[in-house]
Amino acid sequence: MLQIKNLRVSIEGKEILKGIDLAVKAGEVHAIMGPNGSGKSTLTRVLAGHPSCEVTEGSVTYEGRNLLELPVEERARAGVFLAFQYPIDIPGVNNSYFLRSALNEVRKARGLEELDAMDFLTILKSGMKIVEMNESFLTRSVNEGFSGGEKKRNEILQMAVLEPKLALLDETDSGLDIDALRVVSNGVNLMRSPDRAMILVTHYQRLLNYITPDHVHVLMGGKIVLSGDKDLALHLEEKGYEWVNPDRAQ
Amino acid sequence: MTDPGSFLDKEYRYGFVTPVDSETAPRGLNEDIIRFISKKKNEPKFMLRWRLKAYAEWKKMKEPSWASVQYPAIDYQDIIYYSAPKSQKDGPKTMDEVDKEILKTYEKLGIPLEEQKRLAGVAVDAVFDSVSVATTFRGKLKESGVIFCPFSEAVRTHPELVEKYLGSVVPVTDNFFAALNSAVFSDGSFCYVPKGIRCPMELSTYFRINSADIGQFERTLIIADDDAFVSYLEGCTAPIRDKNQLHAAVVELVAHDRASIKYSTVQNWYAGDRDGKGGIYNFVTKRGLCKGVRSKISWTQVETGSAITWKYPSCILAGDDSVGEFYSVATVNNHQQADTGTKMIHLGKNTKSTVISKGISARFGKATYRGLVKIVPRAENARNYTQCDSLLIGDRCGANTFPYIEVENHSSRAEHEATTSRIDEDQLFYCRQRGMTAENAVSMIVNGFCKEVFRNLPMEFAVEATRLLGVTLEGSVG
Amino acid sequence: MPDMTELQPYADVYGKLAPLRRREADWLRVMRDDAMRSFLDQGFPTVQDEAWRYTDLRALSGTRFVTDPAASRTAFENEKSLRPELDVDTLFFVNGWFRPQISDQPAGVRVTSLPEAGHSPEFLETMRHFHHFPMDSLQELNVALGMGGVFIEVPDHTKLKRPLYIIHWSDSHGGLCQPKTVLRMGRGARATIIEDFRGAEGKMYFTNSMTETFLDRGAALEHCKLQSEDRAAFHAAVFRAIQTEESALSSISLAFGSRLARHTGDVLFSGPGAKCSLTALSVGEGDQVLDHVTGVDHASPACGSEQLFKNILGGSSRGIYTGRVLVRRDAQKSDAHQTNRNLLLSGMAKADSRPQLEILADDVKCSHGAVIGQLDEDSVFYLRSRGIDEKVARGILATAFAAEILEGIKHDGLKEKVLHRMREKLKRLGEET
Repeated sequence: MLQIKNLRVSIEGKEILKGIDLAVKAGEVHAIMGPNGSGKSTLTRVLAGHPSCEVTEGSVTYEGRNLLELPVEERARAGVFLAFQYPIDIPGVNNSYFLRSALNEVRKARGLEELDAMDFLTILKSGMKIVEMNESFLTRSVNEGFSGGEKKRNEILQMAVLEPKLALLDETDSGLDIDALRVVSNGVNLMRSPDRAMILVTHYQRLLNYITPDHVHVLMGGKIVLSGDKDLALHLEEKGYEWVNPDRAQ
Repeated sequence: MTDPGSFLDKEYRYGFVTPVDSETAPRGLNEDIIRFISKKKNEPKFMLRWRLKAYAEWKKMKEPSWASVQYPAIDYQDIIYYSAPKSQKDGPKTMDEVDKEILKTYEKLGIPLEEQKRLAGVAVDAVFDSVSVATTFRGKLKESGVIFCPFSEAVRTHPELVEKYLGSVVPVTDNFFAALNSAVFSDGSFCYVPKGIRCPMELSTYFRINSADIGQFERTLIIADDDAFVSYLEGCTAPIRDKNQLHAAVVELVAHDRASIKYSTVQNWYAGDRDGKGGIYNFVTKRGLCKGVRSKISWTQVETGSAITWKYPSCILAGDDSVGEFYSVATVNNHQQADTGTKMIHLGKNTKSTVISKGISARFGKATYRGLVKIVPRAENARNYTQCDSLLIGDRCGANTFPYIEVENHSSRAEHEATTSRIDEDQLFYCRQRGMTAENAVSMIVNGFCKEVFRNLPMEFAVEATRLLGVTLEGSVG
Repeated sequence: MPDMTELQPYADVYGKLAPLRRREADWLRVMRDDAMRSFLDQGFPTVQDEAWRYTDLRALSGTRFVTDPAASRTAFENEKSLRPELDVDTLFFVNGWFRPQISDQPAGVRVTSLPEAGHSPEFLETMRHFHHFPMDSLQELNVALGMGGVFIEVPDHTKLKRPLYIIHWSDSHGGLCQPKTVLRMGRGARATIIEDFRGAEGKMYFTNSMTETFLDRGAALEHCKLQSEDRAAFHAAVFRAIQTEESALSSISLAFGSRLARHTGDVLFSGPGAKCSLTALSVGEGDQVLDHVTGVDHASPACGSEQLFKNILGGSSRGIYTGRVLVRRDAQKSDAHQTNRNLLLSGMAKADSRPQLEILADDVKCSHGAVIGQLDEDSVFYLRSRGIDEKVARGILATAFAAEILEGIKHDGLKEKVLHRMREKLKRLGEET
């Protein structure tokens, strides 16, 4: 589904990703771990097309297309979804209206009919049940005045409604208490399916207690220095990132 | 995004001209023209005296130059001060007598005048160039004692009310344009809501400039007696013309004890073309007097049209515990200029005012917020809150924020906050990551930016306002 | 039309100063002539001038203040008692005239008095930059008549060890005191400058001061102005700064004294990446009028300006803030914020606030806020419930309100001095209400 080859990315002239190679197949869940500043978030952002990320080398193929050529919204419509580490407030814009507009754009691109308010509400409500959100949520503005946990749950709700093919979850576990972590993980697990791939970016292993990845990669200094299965995460938890020999990065 | 201002582009749907045979005064302004207008209107003597006095004052005054707007000098002798469809001799008696062409015009503007076609609940006074051509639902309003009629009719049928209130809020000498209006105003709407009456429907006036080279000078006077309530809407459009046209209106509101007036405007005069050619100069004086205790006046305006807008709907909070509100969205695109804001003058005790102003500038547009909050020594425990935000779309536009805050007693509190920025890049990215086009994302964000103002509009106007911003209603009114 | 009888004394003084002007450089004489003409054309500002809407100068313009050139030489006895007991280098101005004889010679800095400095090319080169700023008629008056000034040069990459403490002492009844300080900061230079305005008790004089600073690339200046003029005096001062690339300025104005005072702070960002912080505290009692005006011109991209102006107003005093921020076209990535907070402590006190933003570039973050209000009664109650006397409680809260400004003073000794003056002032204010 996703082929990343020798990807180099700079932000404001500073090279952050220094040659990433990664292949993700449909149905797989990959966890990307690494210390702060290793470039984990940059990887998800460049895949989503954030304007601050400048690709200096390499390629990204997504379902046979050159992903890097597509504008942000085209990627979203093609099924790439980014759950933000810090979801953005949009004051005055109704939350459910926002999501319906997004869903209809995505449906249009997939050749489906636009949903009317009633049909949308049915979908939305089932999504809200998964992330345990109450009704007041429908009338509030997008992320405005939301707690950290509410914002993250809102991201998962959006993912559930938009049904992406490739979900990029950027530190979705950060700032969550144990209950919220359970709710969010549960949402993610329900979304696992043979035709959907996920990339989880996380600093800690604890998210992986709830979501079992097929592959774990360690990102350090802008490179993937180590790949393995879920046990790699446990090793990391035990021994810390220092355990990974930085020479491997060379 | 190549041109982020493009979402504000829409074809001006109201730019057509109605072919009517008009009776027109000769160009220019002098005492004879004023006598001519007064005679046309069959006015009582006090009105002519009042007009002539205003004219004498106007001649002594200078056109104001303090606003942050630029335009070539106006030749006041090159304007036609009166133009009325010939078919409208003595004002319409019934709808059947209204010129078919004019009825068609309003139909085209989305304001059908036949009562059966109207949404129930809104009475309309239609002002066409210098005269009112029709007022709907008058019968129904009369049942509840509400007087709603063309101004020129009120001068004849309710001279005592007109004489008592005309100029009581905006004196003849208030400013250059108000003085000019006082001398030459030709029509407008008059409304009186008697004691204890809640006006059973929304009242509205639709202003249409049709003829070339005329200036429209209308006058609106709304009085809410003790415990009365009225909600009034105002809309306006004009044909597309290369030459600028002047619109200088005066609106006076008086709210007695516990009375409440809600005044909403969606201003969509022709704004000129992309290069700034043509368009209406909208120089308007609007002021409300909260005369009685616990009275309330609320202004809501959505200013999207006009080449130049110069208006400051204000509240004089004279009655104790009275409340003034001002909610405004002003958008300027292409070469439009808007200098708008409000004055909240706190005279009574425990008076409260709220000011929410949203400015959106795109391309070469320039929007200025100018406001005064004044709290005098005897206005104990007065409160004001003001929030002004400006959004800039493109690097050639501009936004000014000029508040004046004057507090003269120590039990009162005034707070003002303002921000100026462009659309947040992260918000744009977030919307686009969810699949929206950049253009839709911008309009959704702008709509959210205006939400606090839009939700104060009556539903019918909220739809119009949102449509004018090029976005759908749902996102903003929730 | 200005009232000529009001202005005649100033024209007379101008005539009297002719012999001094003859010793000056040609360009300076031309500048003074132009300024005098302009002052006489305009006269004193009135409340009809938008910029002076809240500050009525009639009491000032009706009094004929004079300058006596001989005052630059008379014996001066207060020197010792006026010297600040701080580790600083001190410069003296008496009645508007710089006194090199009793001033320190700070190491590493060139201090030249006018008119001598007028002949140096550095002075001319520095003065050239200030043409950018708009002038009001009071500033014209200073340019025309302010002859006893000083030119201070801090060379490239020089860091002043001690702050420069400039004492402005006035004791001439009916005197027009027009000090002028021109400061040139070389590349990467660092300095702290303190201006302390004081006067003899009961003397009604008029201080009309002008301080102009030029900050070359990467220079950093800390400026603190203490205005503790006598309550009978009038005070007008302008502080200007030209900030080139990457320079940094912090300017604090403390207005305690005089019957009517206006401080104007003007900053021009002429190079990218410069930063400034303008802050002020006014404490008004009796019928004092304390006015602050600022103008920050973002003429270059990526500059940042912060303004915080606070007024504590008792008696029937009046506090005024007018702040203008202009972000010019193409000055992208500008950051500009203005805050004005006013505490009205008595029923007769007044506050007027005019923060103004003029923004012509779009990639900017600009904001302003103004609050006019009173002490939080819940806080007063809280302190009283802990056994603190109400008057004391109010004093504590007013001091806390001011603390944010005083925190900006980095020099500990100076901070202590300012705190002392403020406490005295607040004490009087407490007794007044």
